[in-house]
Amino acid sequence: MSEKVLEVKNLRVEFYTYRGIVKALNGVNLDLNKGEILGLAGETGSGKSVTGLSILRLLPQNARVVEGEIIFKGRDLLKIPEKEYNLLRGKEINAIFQDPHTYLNPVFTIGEQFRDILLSKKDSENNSSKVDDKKIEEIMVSALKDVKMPAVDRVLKMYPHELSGGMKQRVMLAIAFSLQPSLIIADEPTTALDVTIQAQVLEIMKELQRKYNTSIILITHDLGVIAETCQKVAVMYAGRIVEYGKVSDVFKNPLHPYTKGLMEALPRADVDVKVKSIPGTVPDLVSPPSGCAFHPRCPYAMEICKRQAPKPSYVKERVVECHLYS
Amino acid sequence: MKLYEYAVRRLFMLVPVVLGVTILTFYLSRVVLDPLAAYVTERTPAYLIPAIRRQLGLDKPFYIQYIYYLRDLITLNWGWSKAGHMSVADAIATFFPATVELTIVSIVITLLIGIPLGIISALRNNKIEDHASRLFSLVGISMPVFWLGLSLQYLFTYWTRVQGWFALPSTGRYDPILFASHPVQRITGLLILDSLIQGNFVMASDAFLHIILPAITLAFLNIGVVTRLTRSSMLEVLRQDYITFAKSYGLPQRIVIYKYALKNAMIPVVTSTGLMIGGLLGGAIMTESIFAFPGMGWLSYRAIIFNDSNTIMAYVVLSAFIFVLVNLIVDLIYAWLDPRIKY
Amino acid sequence: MKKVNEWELKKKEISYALWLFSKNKLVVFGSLIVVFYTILAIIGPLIVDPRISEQVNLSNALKPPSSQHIFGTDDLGRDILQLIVLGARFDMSISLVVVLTATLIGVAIGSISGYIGGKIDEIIMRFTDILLAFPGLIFAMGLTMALGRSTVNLFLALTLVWWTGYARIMRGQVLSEKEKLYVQAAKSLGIPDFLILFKHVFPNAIYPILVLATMDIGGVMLSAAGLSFIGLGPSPFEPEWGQLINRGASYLFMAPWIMFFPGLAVLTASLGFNLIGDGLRDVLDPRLRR
Repeated sequence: MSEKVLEVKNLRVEFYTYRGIVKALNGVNLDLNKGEILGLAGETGSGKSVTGLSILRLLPQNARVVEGEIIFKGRDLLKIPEKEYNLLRGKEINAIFQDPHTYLNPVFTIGEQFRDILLSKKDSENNSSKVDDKKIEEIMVSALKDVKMPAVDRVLKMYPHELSGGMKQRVMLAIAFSLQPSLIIADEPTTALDVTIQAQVLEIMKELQRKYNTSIILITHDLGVIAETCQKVAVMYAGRIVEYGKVSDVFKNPLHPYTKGLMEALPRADVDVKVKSIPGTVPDLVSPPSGCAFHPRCPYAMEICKRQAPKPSYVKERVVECHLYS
Repeated sequence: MKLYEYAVRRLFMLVPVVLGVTILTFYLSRVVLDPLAAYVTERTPAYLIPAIRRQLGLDKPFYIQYIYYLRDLITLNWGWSKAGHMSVADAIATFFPATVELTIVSIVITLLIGIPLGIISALRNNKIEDHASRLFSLVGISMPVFWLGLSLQYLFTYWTRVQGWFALPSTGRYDPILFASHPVQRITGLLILDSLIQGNFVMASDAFLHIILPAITLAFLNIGVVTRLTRSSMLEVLRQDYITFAKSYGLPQRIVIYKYALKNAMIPVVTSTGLMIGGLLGGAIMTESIFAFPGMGWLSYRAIIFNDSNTIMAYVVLSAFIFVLVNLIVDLIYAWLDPRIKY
Repeated sequence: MKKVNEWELKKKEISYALWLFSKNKLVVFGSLIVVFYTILAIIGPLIVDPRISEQVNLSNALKPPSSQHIFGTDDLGRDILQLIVLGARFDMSISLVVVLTATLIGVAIGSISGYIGGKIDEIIMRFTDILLAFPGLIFAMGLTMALGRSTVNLFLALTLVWWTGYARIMRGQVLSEKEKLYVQAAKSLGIPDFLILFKHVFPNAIYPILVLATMDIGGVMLSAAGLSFIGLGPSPFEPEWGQLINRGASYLFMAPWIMFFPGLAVLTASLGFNLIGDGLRDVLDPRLRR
């Protein structure tokens, strides 16, 4: 019986911009089980990154969580005070970001930054200011070995700009997993990498996940990555999750018209099929379309789709939000 | 390339610029100005003038004069200073340390006030503290230095005394009467330092009281610049992804700001400070004159009054040289601080 | 295909910028100050008799501020307020003229240097390096000393010091624009160089120049006043603000108002320009960056 690590209930987030209020998340519901890798798929603007940032409580200043709960190990992350949440950061909940070139501080060595992170976690753990340097060193070395980093000792003394993108991303993975968190939010971890490096990094990520049984939310627009790594997938569109289920099910048999469109837009090497793109563009989240947000682009759109937003329907183990199935 | 190799290479690149500086000043002092002015008065009999000219080498063609000029420069034979009543080289040796001391105290004040203000402004971006400090900085750079000096002088050496409170000394570098009874040996030429080394706290505090007003006057302008620069630099840095990364790992706010952000943000501030030092070492003519602080600036002012071209030209060359040198040092420090810079 | 003229796009950006401008209180305040002093500079000699700067009235000398003389009188018995009004003309005009000239020279030299590139660019840059090696005030001082004390020489000295900044910026902008594709394209079409420069490169380069120029007006004013203060400005009877402060210095403890109010005038005028320049920098920097 798998236990739920994370439960997102009806999350609504708005951004205040000079153009108006952007409804970035319009009622997101998610479940994540222990040891599971959940893929959060969607185009730019679908709200997938915002979901991740909301869980991490790293939303920018002009964002407001209007409604919703994020339950992690029995606590609502949105309600606990900052100090309390900060204790979770790094130790229980971690993040891996997209651009390896900008996420490491350029004026400190890898070792220094890694050590600082480990130290800050050790402190709150033992509540002692006595620091075991040797132990820290060991943790760093073993973490880097885990991600198959060559010349570990040298790397620790290097500055970020001396490493390649792939290596930097592996450093991030090393840091993330070294603390053995329960939850990792990976926001487009391979998007900025070459395809070959991508594959390597994903392999390492899967290996480490198996080793530590970490639960991961993998946010990406690349369906190929999701197919490779995730067990479950949640497809997002205009701030809502429109389809959710096992990766194998959803990919073989997409139910929601948007998911179908995404599948058809993938170029395939095995079948001689024309690549079809979804007509139209992503909706304006300041004034989204009425009813179902996808209806202007949906080939199966019906009258009711324009008037009423669909409620989630349960089709076997899948959840779909579409009037076709309600 | 190692850092010192880079340094040597840069030093070589200095040469054409320095030469250019000397050519320009040579042109100004020989061709435009009357080089005889320092040695000749109305009372000099006319028949002596050609002999004087010959002695000064003024009858030779210009390019030869320039060579002599260079030779004199290098051998520290800079002529006679009317304003200082000693050779120009001696005058500089006597008066320069005072300016150095003033520069140091001023820079310390500037950084002690400017950087924290800048950080606060950045952290309280767009709130009241930010607007206030912005106004303060702008006022600082709009302020005529000499006016500020005079106003401070009036306030703290006269008005406070009239009110019966305290009073700072209004002019000079130290109290000669006090000095007579508590003499200080000249070691570095920096009075406060020398006094402290010799345990002479009386003179140390006296020198400090004398230096504080001119130092604040000079600092005022620069505080504005440093504050703004720190602020924009910090804001820029705080926006960076690596700050978000550090936060996402729960690094305490204190460390994030003061270690991670600050080190990055300080880089432009360091270079700016270097330039400020260069400018200050050039000698704050107006401030030193107002407070009769016997440094290079004060000397130059007297030189202007006495039409002492030797001193002024030497001063101009010296300032230019210092400025260029300081620029070089600043560039080197920048390269040292930022590991990304390739040389 | 419609010809997209960079200048047209600029006009739209300018009107947006002006709108943003009006929202910034400090900038509005600064603009008011500048307008005030400009008016004063223009109508100054009309509302105050310029001859009073040469009138000596010793019985009225060194009087503290009162209802008769709001800012007091100086050692020659002249009313300080009137002198300040008269002085506005000199300081405002010299600052504007110096900056205008320096900008023109700097922009011209900078663009030529950047555009032509190569050896000529090197030489010109070395030359500006040499000029830049002199800390501004000191160089201006040396020049004025060498050339003699007069208004024209003051103008010359200040202009010579200030043009280098613009040359540097302009050159930098030209260098980066030069590599851009649209310039290569235009060149291949046979469009003459100076047209390319004018129509395309200039509009992009203008912003930092504009910001610098505005703030420099304040800076030049300070320098001009400063040079006058140490005796390198116009004639002693000219009611120039720096001169007045110089006068006031001799009577600092007796009659502090003589130096105080003219100094305040310099400060506020300079502040006005700096406020505008600062606001300009804010407005132009991130939002309108394409």
